Amino acid sequence: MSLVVEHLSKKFGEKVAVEDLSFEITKPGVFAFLGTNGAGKSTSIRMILGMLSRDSGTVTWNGAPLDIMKEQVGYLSEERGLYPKYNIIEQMFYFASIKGMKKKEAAPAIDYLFSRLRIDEYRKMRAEQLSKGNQQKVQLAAALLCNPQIIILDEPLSGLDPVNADLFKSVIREERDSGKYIIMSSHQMETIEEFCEDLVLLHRGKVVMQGNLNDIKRERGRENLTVKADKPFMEIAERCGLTLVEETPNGSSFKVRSEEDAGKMLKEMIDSGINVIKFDLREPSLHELFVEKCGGDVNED
Amino acid sequence: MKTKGWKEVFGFTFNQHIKTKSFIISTVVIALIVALIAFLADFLPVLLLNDEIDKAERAAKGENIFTVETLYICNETDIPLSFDAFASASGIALKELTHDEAQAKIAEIADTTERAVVSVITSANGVLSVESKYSGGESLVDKGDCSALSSSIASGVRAQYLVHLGVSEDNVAAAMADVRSHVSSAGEEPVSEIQMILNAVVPMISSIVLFIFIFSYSQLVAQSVAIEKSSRIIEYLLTSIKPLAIIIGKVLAMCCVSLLQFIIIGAGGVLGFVISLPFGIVSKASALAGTVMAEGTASGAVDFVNDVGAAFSGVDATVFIVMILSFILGFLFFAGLAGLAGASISKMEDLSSAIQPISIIGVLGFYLAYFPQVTGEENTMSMVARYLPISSPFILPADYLLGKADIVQTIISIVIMAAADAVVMMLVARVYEAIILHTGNRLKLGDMLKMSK
Repeated sequence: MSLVVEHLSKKFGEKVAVEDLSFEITKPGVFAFLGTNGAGKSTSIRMILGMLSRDSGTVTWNGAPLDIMKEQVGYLSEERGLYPKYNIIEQMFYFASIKGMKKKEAAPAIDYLFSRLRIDEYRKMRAEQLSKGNQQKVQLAAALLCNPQIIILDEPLSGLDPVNADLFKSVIREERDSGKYIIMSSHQMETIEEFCEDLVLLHRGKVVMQGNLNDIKRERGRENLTVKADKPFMEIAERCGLTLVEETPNGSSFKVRSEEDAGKMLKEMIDSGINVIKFDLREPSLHELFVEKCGGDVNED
Repeated sequence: MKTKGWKEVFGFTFNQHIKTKSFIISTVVIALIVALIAFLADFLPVLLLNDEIDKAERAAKGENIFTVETLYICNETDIPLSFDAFASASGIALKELTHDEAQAKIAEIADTTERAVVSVITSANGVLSVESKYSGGESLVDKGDCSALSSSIASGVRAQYLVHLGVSEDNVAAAMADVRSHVSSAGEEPVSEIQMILNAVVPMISSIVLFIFIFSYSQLVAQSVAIEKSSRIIEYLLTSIKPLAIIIGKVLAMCCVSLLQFIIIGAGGVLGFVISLPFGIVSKASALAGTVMAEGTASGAVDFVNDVGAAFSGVDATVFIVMILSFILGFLFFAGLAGLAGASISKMEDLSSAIQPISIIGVLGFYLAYFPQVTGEENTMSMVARYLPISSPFILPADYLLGKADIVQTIISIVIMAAADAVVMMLVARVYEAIILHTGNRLKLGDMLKMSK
């Protein structure tokens, strides 16, 4: 099974919202769909789901055009909502009914999800009586209600406290492990690194980075160096060709041209009798890659 | 395929709405008020005409309805007169007196406790007259009763005089029958006062009620669409159903909710009438129908009910069909437009300004329908109002009920309404889908049409 998105484009008037977006998810897991605010993520997701017409491009699932009326797709949108005045359990049964589930099928699924997400006690309350976090749990339950094969989670962890964020992560992990195809959009790069192997990064509607995260990092090599020592070492760093990025109480961060330059610096520091407290040479983080690709030209909504 | 799932939207919207406190309370309260009005409409005339009805009922049973126990008659004419049948039907004892006896009796009843009337029938210069005297002591006899008896005797004298002159009894009965008088302008059918009142009141009430129902529930469609947009729940719904299915389900559900409320309130009216039936004016008058009333008795009450019955004689199943069709078609028209207004906004606070154009159209339609009803005249305005889809739902049922629109005109008006609904629904299908995910400022009509291209 695979989800293939090819050459998706959308314009609103003269403004290009998404330009030639293509990616493929060939195996179950969590696929990262990243981008700055206003980069075109939500527009792309809406086009994938068929909510929004495409100017061009195709979306196929198992070789056939994806039809959300036939395929069960779970969607937790960034702009979340429930009917504020209506009873939670009745809303869940409604959501189940529009997904084609009978009441008998829906009841055990709701029971399981409500128990799993620890919101059983709220089932008879109105949505407006629930905290934002609990409303978010109800919405995640709604997204997973029909046991969908494809799940799209747009900022699933935003606004959650650490306990509930961990709960959400455990549910996402559970879905991933049960063979679901999950597309996750988030601005929390640590979470993306925790879950995702493959990604696509959008900026101003265009793909600026794409592929396997480990491969991307490997290609870039270990170029970030953080050093902390008991004596000044800036002269050595300059001599070795390192570029200072920032200085913090935890040490000084540098960009290195190659791992050899870093090794040369370490050797010189030791030879100079400097006591090295910290010497951390690592690949760029996703956060750094994101900022590098999009940071210079952020499009604020 | 685009409409798949509309039944689920319909079911959820319908169920959720009829469970709201505002629906339950408003329905119960209005139904009770209507029941009370229906009850009072039937029962109040009984209270107001109580004495007359009581007399009529007693008269129908052959009981004496007067404060007179004995009627003394002195016939001083040459005409042979008999009042036995009248006295027997009225339950009054009858005694015939000579001139002297009559004068003596008049003197006697001036201060006795006998409840009596002495009527002296005379003829002078070809003029017949009845002179009646009633007991004066301690106001034993009601003057009105004496007058009624005297009038009845006078009628009897006239009838028997005609028979005496050779006119057959049947012809006399025909000539003596009550002659009703009506005034109406040339070219118009004469109508009773009750009919005139109903002609003026029914269309106005019908316009107002239809406007309130159609318009308020159309606005609820806009509100419902706006809630789904502003709460962003629409994004979730669209992963399972198409926008067209959502708007169809919502509009039809609201239409049924309003129809349900309409029917419950109507049932309240019927219930109020049914409760009043055992002691209301309709049943009392029905029981008295056919009874020959003495002059001055409850004939007014019977006439009242007969007039009401005649006024509603044109009500049949087709009137209800026209009313329901007008309601549904009018609702679809305004609810479709209201749904677009709701979809044009992203924040609830913009709702009132989005609905404003629909409100203007609705109010304009209402006044187009209402003013011809107030003036009661058939003119160009009333003709336009009958065929214009923004006003015809409010005017057609009353026009058809009162015969202002014949069946052909009614069908034409309904066809125009249906065609207008089809246009609105096609517009909704095209535009709603294009704008439902729009966020940001309120869309104007031009923006909506542009986005839907």
